[in-house]
Amino acid sequence: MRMRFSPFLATGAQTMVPTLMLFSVYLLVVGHDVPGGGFAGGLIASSGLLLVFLAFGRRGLRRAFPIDPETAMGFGLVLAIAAGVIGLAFGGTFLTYEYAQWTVPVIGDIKVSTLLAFDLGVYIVVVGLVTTSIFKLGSDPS
Amino acid sequence: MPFILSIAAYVAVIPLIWGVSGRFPRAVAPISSLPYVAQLILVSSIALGWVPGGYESIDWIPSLGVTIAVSTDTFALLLAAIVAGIGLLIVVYSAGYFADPSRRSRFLAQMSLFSAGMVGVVTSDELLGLFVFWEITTVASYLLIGFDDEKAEARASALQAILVTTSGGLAMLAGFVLMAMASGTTRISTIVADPPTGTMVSVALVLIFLGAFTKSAQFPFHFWLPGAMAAPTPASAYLHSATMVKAGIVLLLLLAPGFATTFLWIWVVTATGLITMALGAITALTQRDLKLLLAYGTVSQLGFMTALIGLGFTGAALAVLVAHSLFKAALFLIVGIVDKATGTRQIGELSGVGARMPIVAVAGAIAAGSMAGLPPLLGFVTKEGAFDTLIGAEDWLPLAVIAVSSALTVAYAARWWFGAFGSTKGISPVTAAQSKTSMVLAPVALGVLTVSFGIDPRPMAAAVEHAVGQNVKLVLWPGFTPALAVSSIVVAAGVWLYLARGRQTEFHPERRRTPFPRAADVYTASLRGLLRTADAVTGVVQNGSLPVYLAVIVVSVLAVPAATWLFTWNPSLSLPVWNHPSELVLGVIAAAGAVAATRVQRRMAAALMIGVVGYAIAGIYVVFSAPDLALTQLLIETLTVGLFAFVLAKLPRRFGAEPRSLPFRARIAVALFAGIVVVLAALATSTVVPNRSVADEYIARASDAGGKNVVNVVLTNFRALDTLGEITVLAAAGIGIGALVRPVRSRRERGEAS
Repeated sequence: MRMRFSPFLATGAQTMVPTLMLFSVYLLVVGHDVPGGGFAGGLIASSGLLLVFLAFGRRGLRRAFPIDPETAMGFGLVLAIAAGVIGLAFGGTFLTYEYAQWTVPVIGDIKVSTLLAFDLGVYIVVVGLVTTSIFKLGSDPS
Repeated sequence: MPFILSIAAYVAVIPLIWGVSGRFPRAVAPISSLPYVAQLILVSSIALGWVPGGYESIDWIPSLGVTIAVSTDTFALLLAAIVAGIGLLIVVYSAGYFADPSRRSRFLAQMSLFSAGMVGVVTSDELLGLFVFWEITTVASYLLIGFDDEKAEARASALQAILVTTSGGLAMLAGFVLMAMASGTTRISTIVADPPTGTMVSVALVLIFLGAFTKSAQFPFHFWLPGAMAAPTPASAYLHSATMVKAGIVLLLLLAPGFATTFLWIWVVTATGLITMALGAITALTQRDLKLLLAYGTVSQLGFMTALIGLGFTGAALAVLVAHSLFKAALFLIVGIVDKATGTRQIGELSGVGARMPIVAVAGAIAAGSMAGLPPLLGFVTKEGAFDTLIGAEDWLPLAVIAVSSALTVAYAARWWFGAFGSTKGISPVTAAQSKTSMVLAPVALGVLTVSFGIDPRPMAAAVEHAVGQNVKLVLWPGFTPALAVSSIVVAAGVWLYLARGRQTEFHPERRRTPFPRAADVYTASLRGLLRTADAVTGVVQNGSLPVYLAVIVVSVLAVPAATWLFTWNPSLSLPVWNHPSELVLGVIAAAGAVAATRVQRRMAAALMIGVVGYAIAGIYVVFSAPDLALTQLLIETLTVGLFAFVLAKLPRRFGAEPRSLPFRARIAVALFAGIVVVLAALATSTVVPNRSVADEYIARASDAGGKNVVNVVLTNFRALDTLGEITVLAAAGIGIGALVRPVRSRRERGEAS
C-alpha cells in the first residue's frame, strides 16, 4: 500500500492536528479529576503525529516533532523518576507527590503538583514510543 | 548523620568532576580529593571524640524494613581511615600517572564511585545496606578493570571479574536473607551478639562464604584477580590490593564474633585460606610480570588473613590486613612508576633502575621488606604477632603451612625487588625518564607509615584490640621467643629459595601438566557452555518466523494459568447472559469482526476487522461506565490500525502467498488452545465473588491523594511504581524498535523502483 500526497488529508490534518494536540494537553492536565491522564493524552498526541505523517510524510513529521523520539522517551522516563525522587527529597517516600495550590482571582484555584510531572513523563514516553515506531515503520508518501 | 553524608560526598563530587574536566582539567584532582580529606577529618574527629560517632541510619524501604545504617566503631573507623587515606594518596598519584586529562577525570570519577561503596562496606551495620555498597564496589571495579575499553583483553578481564564477584554476591544476598530470617533482624551487631543456630544458619553461612571468597579472591575463585591487572595501576593498587579485595575479609571479621566457633566456620574458612595462601605464594614466585607477581602475592596474603579468621584470630588478621594495605599499595604504585619510566615491567628486561631512581628503590625496599616480614617494619611486627598467636593456640598444621608460604613470600619479595631495581649481567641498563614528584609521594608516604608503625606498633596494637576486642602481641622486639625463631627460619629459608630458584627469569608453568583443571579454565568452559546452551535454545524458539514467535509467546503465557486451573477448576456458572441489552449488540459486532478477520483474504481487511473487535469492546467498557478504559481502548485501536498499515505495506497483500513456517493444523491448535483458555479465564474471573475491600479503599482514599478520578489516582499514586515499570517497558520496547527495525522499503516499493 503506497501512500500518495492527498490535498484532502493535508487540509484535514491542518485543522485537526492543533485541536488534537490541545485536547491531549487538556486530558493530561485534568486527568486526575476527570477521565484522561498521561497515557490517554499521549495516545491522542500520537494520533495527531500519525496524522501529520500520513498527510505530510517523514519530513513533515520531523518538522512537527523536531527532537529525536528515542531521546524523548529517555527524557520522559527521567522526568517520571525525578518526580518520584522529589517526593523522597521532601521527606516522603519514592513517588509521593508535593502539592502547591493558589487561588487566583477570576481563574479560580490552580493546583500544581509533581504528580503532573510524573504524568507528563508517561505522556512523553508514549509519544516517543509511537513516534519511534512511525519513523521506523512508516513508508513515505510520494 | 555526618558519616552517611561523608559517604554521599564521594558520589556528589562526580558531577563536579565532569563539570570542570573540560575547561579546568587542573582542578579535577583537587576536587576529587575533597571527599577523601573530609572523610579523614571526620574519622579523626570521631576517633578523638570531638564529633559524636555511633549508629546512624536512614530508612530506605521502610515497608520492608530495609535501612542503610553505618556504625562508626573503632573497627569501622580504622578501615574507613585506610580507604580514605590510601584513596587520597592514589588521587595525588593518578594526577601524575594519567597524562591525558580526560582519562584522568574518568578514572577519578569512577574511583570516587568506588570509594563511596567501599567506605559503605566497611562501616555498614545492616546486611542489605552492606550488600548494596558491596555491589557498588563490584560495578566500579568492572569499570576500572575495563578502563582501557579499546582493548579486548581488558574487556574480557572486566567481564570475568564482574561475573565471578556478582555470582558470589548473589549467593551472599541469599545468605543474608536466610540469616535475617533465622535471627529476625538485619542488623549485623545484633546478629553476632546473639547468633542464631540451625541448618538454615549453616546454609546461610556457606552462601555468605561464597560472597566473601569470590570478592577476596580465595581459591578456587582467585583467578579473576590476576586478570584484573588489566586495570590502570592506580586502580590495581587501590581496589585490587588495598581495599576492595579486603571486603570479603571485612565481612568475615564482622561475622566472626558470632560464628567463628562453629565447626563449619573453622574448617571451611581455615582450609580455604591456607590453600589460597600456599597456592598464591607458589604462583607468585613463577611470575615474570612485576604486577602479576604482586597480584598472586595479594591472593596469597588474602589467604593468610582468611586462615587466621578461620581459626578465630581476628586481631591478628586485622593487623595483617592493615600492614598489607600499606605495603601492597606502595608496591603497585612503584610498579606503575617503573613501568611509566621505562616502558616495561618484565623481570629480565629491567636493569639498573635502582641506580637511576634511588628514592623509589628505597621506598620499594621498605614495602617489599614489609611484605617479606623483615624488621623493623610493620609487616614483621604483624607477622610475628600472627606466629605468636598460632604458637599460643598450638595450631601446628596451620602454622606450618603459613610458615612455608611466608618463606615463599620472602623469596618472591626478593624476586620482585631485584627484578625491578637490581642490575642483571648481560642486560644493558635501561633508560628511565624522570618520574614525577606527585607519583613518588604516595609510595614514600606509605613507606614512612610502614616504618613508623613498625618501630612503634603500640597505637596499632591499641587500635586493633579496641576494634575486634582481641589482644595481639604487636611489638618490635619480642625477646627470644618461639615466634622469633619461626620468623628467622622463614627468612633464612626464603633467602635460600630466592637464591636457588627465584632468580630464574623464565619459568615454564605450561610444561608442568597437573592432573587438576585450572580454575580459570573451568570458568571459561562453563561460560562457553552457557553461551552454547543459550544459542541452542534461541535457535529453536527464535527461528525468525513470526508465526512461530507468536505461537511460543501465546502458548507459554497461557500454559501456566491453564495448568493451575486443571487442579483448581471449580465452575459455578451462574452468570447472567447480559446486564444490559446493548451488550448483546456489541458482543455480536465483536464476534462478527473476529470471524470476519479469519475469513478475509487481504491482510489490511483483517487488520480493520480486528479494529472492529476492539471498538466493540470499547463500547462494552462504556456500558459498564468505565470511560478511562473506553477512551484508552479506542485510542489504542486507532493507533494500532494505523501502525498495522505501515507494517502491512511491507508484506504481501494477501494471506497465503508465502510458504508456511508453521503448519496449518498447528496454527489451529494454538488458536483453539488460546481461545479456550481465555474463555475459561473470563468465566473464572467473572464468577469469583470479588473482594471489594481493596477497591473500596481506593475509592475512599482517592480524595486524600488529591484527585477525583480514581482510575488516574490508582495509576499515578497508589500503583505509581507499577506505572513507572510499565513506561520503562514501553521505553525499552521503543528502543528495541529503534534498534531492530531499520527503515527498509517494502518489496513492492523496491519492485516499483526497479
